[in-house]
Amino acid sequence: MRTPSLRPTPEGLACLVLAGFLFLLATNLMAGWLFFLVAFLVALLLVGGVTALRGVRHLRVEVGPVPPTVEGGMVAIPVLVQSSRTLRFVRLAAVVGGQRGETFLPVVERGTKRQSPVRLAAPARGVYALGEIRLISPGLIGMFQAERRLPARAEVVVRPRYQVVNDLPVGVSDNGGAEVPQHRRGYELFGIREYLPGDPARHIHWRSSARHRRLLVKEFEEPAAPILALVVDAERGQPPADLDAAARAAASIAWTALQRGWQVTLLWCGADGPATVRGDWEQLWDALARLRADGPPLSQALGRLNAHLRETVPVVVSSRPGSLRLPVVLVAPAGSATAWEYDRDGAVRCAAS
Amino acid sequence: MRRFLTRIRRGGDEGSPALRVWTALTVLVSVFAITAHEDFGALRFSIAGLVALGFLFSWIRRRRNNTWVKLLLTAGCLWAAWVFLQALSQDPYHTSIPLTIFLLWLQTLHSFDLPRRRDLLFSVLTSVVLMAVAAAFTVDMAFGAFFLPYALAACVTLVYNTAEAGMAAAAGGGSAASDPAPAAPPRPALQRGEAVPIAAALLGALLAVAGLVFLFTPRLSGLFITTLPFTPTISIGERLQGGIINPAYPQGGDGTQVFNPNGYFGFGPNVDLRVRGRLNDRVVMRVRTTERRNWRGLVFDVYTGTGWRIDDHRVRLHTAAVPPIELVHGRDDVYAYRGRARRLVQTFYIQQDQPNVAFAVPRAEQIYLPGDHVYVDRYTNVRLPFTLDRGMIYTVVSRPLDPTPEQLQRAGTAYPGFILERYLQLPPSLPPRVAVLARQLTGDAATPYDAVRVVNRYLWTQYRYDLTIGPQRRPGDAVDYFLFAERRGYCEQFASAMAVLLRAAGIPARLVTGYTPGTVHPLTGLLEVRNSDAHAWVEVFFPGVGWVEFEPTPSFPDPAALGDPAVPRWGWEGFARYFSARLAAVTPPAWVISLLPAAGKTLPWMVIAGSLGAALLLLRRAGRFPARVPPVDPVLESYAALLRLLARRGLRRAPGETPREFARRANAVVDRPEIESLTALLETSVFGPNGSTPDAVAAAKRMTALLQDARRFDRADGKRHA
Repeated sequence: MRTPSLRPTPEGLACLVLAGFLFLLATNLMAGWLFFLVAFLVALLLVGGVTALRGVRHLRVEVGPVPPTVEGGMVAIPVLVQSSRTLRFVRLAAVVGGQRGETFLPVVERGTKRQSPVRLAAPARGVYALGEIRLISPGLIGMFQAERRLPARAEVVVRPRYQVVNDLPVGVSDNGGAEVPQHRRGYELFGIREYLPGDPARHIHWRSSARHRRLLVKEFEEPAAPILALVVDAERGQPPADLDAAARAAASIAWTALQRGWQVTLLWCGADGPATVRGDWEQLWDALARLRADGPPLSQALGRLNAHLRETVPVVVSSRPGSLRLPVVLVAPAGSATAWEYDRDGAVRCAAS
Repeated sequence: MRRFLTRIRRGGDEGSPALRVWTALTVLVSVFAITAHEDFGALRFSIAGLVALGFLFSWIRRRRNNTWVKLLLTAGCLWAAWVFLQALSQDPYHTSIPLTIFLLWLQTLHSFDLPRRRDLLFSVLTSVVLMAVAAAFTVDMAFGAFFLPYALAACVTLVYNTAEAGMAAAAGGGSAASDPAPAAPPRPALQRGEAVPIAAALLGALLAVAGLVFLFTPRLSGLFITTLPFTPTISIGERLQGGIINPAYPQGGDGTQVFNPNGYFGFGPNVDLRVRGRLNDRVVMRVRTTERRNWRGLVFDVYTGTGWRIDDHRVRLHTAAVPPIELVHGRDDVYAYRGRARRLVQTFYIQQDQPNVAFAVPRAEQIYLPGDHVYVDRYTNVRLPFTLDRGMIYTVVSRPLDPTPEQLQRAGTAYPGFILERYLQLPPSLPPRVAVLARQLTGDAATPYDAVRVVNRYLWTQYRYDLTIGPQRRPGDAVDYFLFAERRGYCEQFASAMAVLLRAAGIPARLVTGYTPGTVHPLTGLLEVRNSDAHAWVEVFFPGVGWVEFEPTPSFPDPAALGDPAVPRWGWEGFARYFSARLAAVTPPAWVISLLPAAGKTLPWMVIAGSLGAALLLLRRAGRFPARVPPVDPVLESYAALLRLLARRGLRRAPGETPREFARRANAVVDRPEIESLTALLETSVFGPNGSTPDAVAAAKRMTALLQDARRFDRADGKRHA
């Protein structure tokens, strides 16, 4: 437990100055009641300090796991508060990514536990460590402000904003038509089984049926969903705001694709090498939140990711595409002279439209 | 810049009506407190009404552009300052009323522009200044009647302010403004009616701490002021022309006076030693000064055998167009000035009608009073042109001399002729044995000072101070009767005896009447002089030094021992002295004294010790001292109460038996659903994730109350059927 700090509020300073001045006046005038008024002001300071310290000493807090949030939203840090005394006017404060939030507790009853989330505006996309929770108490009369910092281990994940994309960025086929980025289509023959009443006659496998002298039909698997390989350029050195915009664009594409039933594989190359995430929206979104600009240049990154990109035409989201001559669908910031562009809010559109 | 100005204009207005109401009450109490020390008449209520109106106006307009209001208020402040300076220039010696009015106008004008919480706080700050001014002018306990409600209102205001500040700080922390999904409306910082009990409890703690701080606050010597207080010029009826009028004895004259317990018979042209009676204990004046000294009133030079009188009533007029009136000592007050004596300021606040005599420490040099002239006789009795009425204030500046015993030893016997002529006077009717006694006592004295000390000690040790003596049983000389027959008496008898004995021994002496220093009140810091403090003592002339006071009456302090600070260094000393003096004035019943021979002297300490012991006992019974009970979960407390209730029915939880098992067993016997419900609450509180929620606590208390009621009902029912 760290030692609480105590500092006077403006009211406390005013009280102190007034007490000093009135003491001099009382001494000169030898006015007994004025001495009592001075004593009362000093008592205000003493009682104010004691109640302020009491407000932070008897409080115990536990910080729970912080649910992820989205850029521009609110971070709600769940805090469980318990006190061995009835305390009033206590504030809980937390700072995450430069954003400060406070919650005010008018009263904390003795012996009771209560949930009191600390809400603050979400900072920029990323992952933040909540190092401490601050307990602030002005006491009952606000002469002093006591503050105690309690260690709190919690992770705050801020995910990128996203928007629905009208047209997903896809490649262009040799005949000029749109090429859906998938490498499998149609039903695959899965196997042969016994004929069941109701099976279509056209599915009967005659050769196998003749061989085994009983009716056998073909069995097919569900057609594979289209797979979108989404590569995000995590090149080291790019401004954080640029990577944030790229992450938003990638989130918009991934969200729209998933809504349309596609499978999305997110790929990037970071300081630890190539990384992929394939899964549901939560997993992709979380990965985009944790993305950091610590990787190699895009061309190198694509080279390292090559093994994961076979038979696909990846969609590459990059804030600095440069003159990339690779068979990719490039999505870059507006004005980059690419076929697809995105803006700072993550809206993706075809440059030609 | 535009956003900044808009913020300045609009500000974060304070929307708490409770905070405003209590701030207004705080200010109003301070207005009444500061206007209590003078007669402000209708102005007091006008100001109070305007303050209330101002707070209402501020509340209504708190969100609007008030530039024109600020301009008007600025003009108002300038006008108030101008009026104040004008009043000062007309009468620079009476600043209390103009200053009070100026402060009141500032507070009133400020009340019309209070949009923000910090403006309300500033009002509270200025109300403290008003209270301070009221405290400075107060001379009695009436201020306490304003201080307590003011302190309570201020505490409530501070509690509301802290609550509102906390809410504002949390809101400004960025949580609420941009919240796309704001939480449900939060609980108000304070529920209705919650603040007053909190503030009342807080006030108790504050007063206790303030009391302790007050007891240990050092009191240094002060009164370094140039403008000394006195009552403004008043219209006086018929002015006196140098005579002495004692309102308690208006008939004056010769003959045995009829004793009046409301006034001392020694403050007239004559002192009749045959008068018997006991003065009451009413406060006649309060004195603000730095030293405790006797307040000399009148000097008597002729002993008549039955009393004293002032022989020479010729007076000299002292005037001044502007205060102070400079005083020149009378012809008989011959002092040898050795260096510059220190300046002693004494301000007298008259509480009961007094004679037209300026009581003061000897060697008065200046007097500030509501008048432009005084009369001074040869004895330096300062006679006023009017009697001192209740409520009057006057200030005297004296330069007392405190000669050392060595100086008095070296004084010699070179008395001026006019001193010997007047102050060795004795009536022819004085019995010779008085002079014989005087020679016996002083025969071996080497110096006049030694002779004075011998006579002084003789009277201290051989005679008893007694206020219950009856009338003189046989006619004759009063001093002779005292010395040889009665051997006990009032201070007048002692002082007269000493003066007569010294005169018989050839040492000039005279009788002086006035008041003893009184008792300092620990809260006001003023010396309270009562009727019963009226006193008579002796002044003895020493060549080269002047008139020196001596105290012949036993149990009265030697004037040489006076001159100590009027106010004790520490507050607790003041309280101890004050209550000791008040208790000492109470005579225990005879049966108490017979049981406790020392009760008279030790009674104050016995009372104090007894009070402390009773207080400790009460605290211990209340559980506040010495042990501190650690806090317990309320649901656990309720379950413990349930166990106690069931134990009375013979149902006790066995060691190792779980609460649920015990509840089932108990229910089989008692059949109350609250047992299992309370057990379930206990399990939830102890093992659940949220602990003891407020709902659980309330439910547990409810069930415990139901069980207790049921228990009482069963018991009553059982008795009814028995």
